[in-house]
Amino acid sequence: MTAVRHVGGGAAAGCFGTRFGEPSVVERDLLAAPATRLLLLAARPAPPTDLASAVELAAEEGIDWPAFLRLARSHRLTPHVARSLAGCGAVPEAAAARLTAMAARAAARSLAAAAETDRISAALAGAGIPSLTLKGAAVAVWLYGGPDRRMFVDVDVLVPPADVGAAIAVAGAAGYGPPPRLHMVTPAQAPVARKRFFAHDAALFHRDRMVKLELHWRAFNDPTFRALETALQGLVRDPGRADRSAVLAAHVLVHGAAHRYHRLGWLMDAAVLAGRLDAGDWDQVVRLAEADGALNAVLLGPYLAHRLFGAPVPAALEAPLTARVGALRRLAGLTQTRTPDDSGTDQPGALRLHSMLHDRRRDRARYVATKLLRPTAVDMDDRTLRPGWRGSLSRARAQAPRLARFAAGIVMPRRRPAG
Amino acid sequence: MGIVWLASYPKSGNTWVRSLLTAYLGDDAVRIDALGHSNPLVTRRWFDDVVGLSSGILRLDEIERYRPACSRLLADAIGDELRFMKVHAANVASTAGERLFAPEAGAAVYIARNPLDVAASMAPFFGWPVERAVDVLCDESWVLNDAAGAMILPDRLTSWSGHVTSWLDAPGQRVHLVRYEDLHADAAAVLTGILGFAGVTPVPGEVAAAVEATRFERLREQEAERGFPEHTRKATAPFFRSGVVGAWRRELPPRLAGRVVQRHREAMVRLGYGDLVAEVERAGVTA
Repeated sequence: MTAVRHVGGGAAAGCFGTRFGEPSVVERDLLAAPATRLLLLAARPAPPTDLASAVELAAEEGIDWPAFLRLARSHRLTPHVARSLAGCGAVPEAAAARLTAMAARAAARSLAAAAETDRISAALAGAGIPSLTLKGAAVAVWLYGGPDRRMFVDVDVLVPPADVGAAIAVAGAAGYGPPPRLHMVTPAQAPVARKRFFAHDAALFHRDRMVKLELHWRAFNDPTFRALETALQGLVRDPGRADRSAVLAAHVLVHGAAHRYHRLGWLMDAAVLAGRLDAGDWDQVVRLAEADGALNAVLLGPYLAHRLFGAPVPAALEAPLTARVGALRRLAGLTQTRTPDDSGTDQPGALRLHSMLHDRRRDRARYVATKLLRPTAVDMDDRTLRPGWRGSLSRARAQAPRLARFAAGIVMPRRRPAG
Repeated sequence: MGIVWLASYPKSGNTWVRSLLTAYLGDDAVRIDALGHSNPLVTRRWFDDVVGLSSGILRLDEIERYRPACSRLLADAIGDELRFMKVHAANVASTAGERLFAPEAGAAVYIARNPLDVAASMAPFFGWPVERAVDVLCDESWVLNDAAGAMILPDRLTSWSGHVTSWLDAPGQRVHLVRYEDLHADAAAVLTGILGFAGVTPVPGEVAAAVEATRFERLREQEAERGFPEHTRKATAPFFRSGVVGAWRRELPPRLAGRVVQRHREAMVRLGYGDLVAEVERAGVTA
């Protein structure tokens, strides 16, 4: 068992993994809020045996229960918290009742999305298109034992890139149309969307069932994770491959890091993985990450899961985590604070911190160049999705304002005080 | 006692005070390339490790927001051991409203120097024309070490007056004021005052020995022999340049002296430089 330490508001206020050093200033700030400390304790895969006393302490500190429940929901941790706090007498009756109702609604929604995932997968299979369920439904079953045990709302399916057009047609026949505010990519436009945009999926929407379907031709917008993308496409063709657990784990970890773990639900997945995968699986995960120069991205999840959720540190990760602890500490800080405040996706700072997930300079450069030069899904329309020079011109026009904002972000000195 | 910040605007005698303290408190002879304790607060590496963020992607105001917590953590780490630490940053408030150096983190010795002489000394130190030095002294937004990729964090200095008041008027901050000119007049008395403020009982013979060991000529000889690591590459004169009081009369044109006095009159009078204000104003040259 790795060491965990109490920080923040005294004993039992929050267990914090200290295997890789004392909490940083950013982490101390994060743990200063009683609601956050309680959430990190109550949501973990194995809640502490003295959770009730932590609840009592949070109550003494004046925890705002409605805010706590909102925090749990926004981090997609309602089912985890509901399980841990069920029957805990220290939770006020009204909060307990509200939590139970929220968990029931979340479970119903997850079950509906899971059923829709099955329906789409079957329709694709019926059309001869192989597919792999990613993220929500797949992770809920794999890591938690059932779709109702983890919150998710979307359907994510990976198909071979060449089959995207046909898959869109299948989804259209299944009742899916354009999502709100986004253009519906037609089967004919799919090749342009796939090759010319900073995008990795076609977003579709079922108006009656209120379900969003993301048909992925790649797992990530970022084009640098080649080995992982190849391995995932391998699973599309052969779901029974021996490296299935390692490949899916690497996808879960890189996906969470790419989103800076801004939802703790993704970090919970990393915490469960830390206790679930065996040494052989972790070795495969590390090899895959090394091939893509993405060890920072893969290790960030286990590092943070240990620190915030007290997750065990897999033996196979001890050495790489120890060797990169400085970089991971800085990456971790970026997941735990809104700083830098102006990190819009087009800002140089935001690009730089995202590129820090890459171990190799050339991958950082490739990521930045692709991000800057290719328009995104919100720019997709009938003009930008045209093939040929007319489409190229339309895409360049769409991207120009973004490049201008980026240039302005460079010209504006970052070190000057705001205001 | 813990931390005692040796706070000053640049070229105000900070190095001399550190030399005196090193000579008094240290076991060996004073070496200008090893003066007392380094201040980790100013280094990017320490900041990044302790805060858990890459300072390279932060704006100055974002860095400053974390500095009060950094000063408290440093004080916790040092405990009761007496540490004098050089600081050039102004003790301004962060955007969160906290002073950058939390008052509970340490007491401060504030070293002030007549701004007319500061301008005359800064110009060759940074390799600037003296007009630029006066501009900087009057610039509320001046940031020291503002180069991207530097190993040292940027420090907001504000103007000379702003720097003075940021430290002397910081709420709850224990401050002991030292003037460069008093160091010149009676270094032993100034050192005795600093030691007493820091809770060290001064031994007169050792104070005299420390003063003797750090005479200007000795420090200058060391710089000539081994160089001085804190000197800038663009400097047009040695760090230990003239070591005199009143060089501004020779090096600062009356127009620029008038500008300094006009801008910093209030703080100059407060620090006992009223006679210089009167002298410049009598000359009748204004900016």
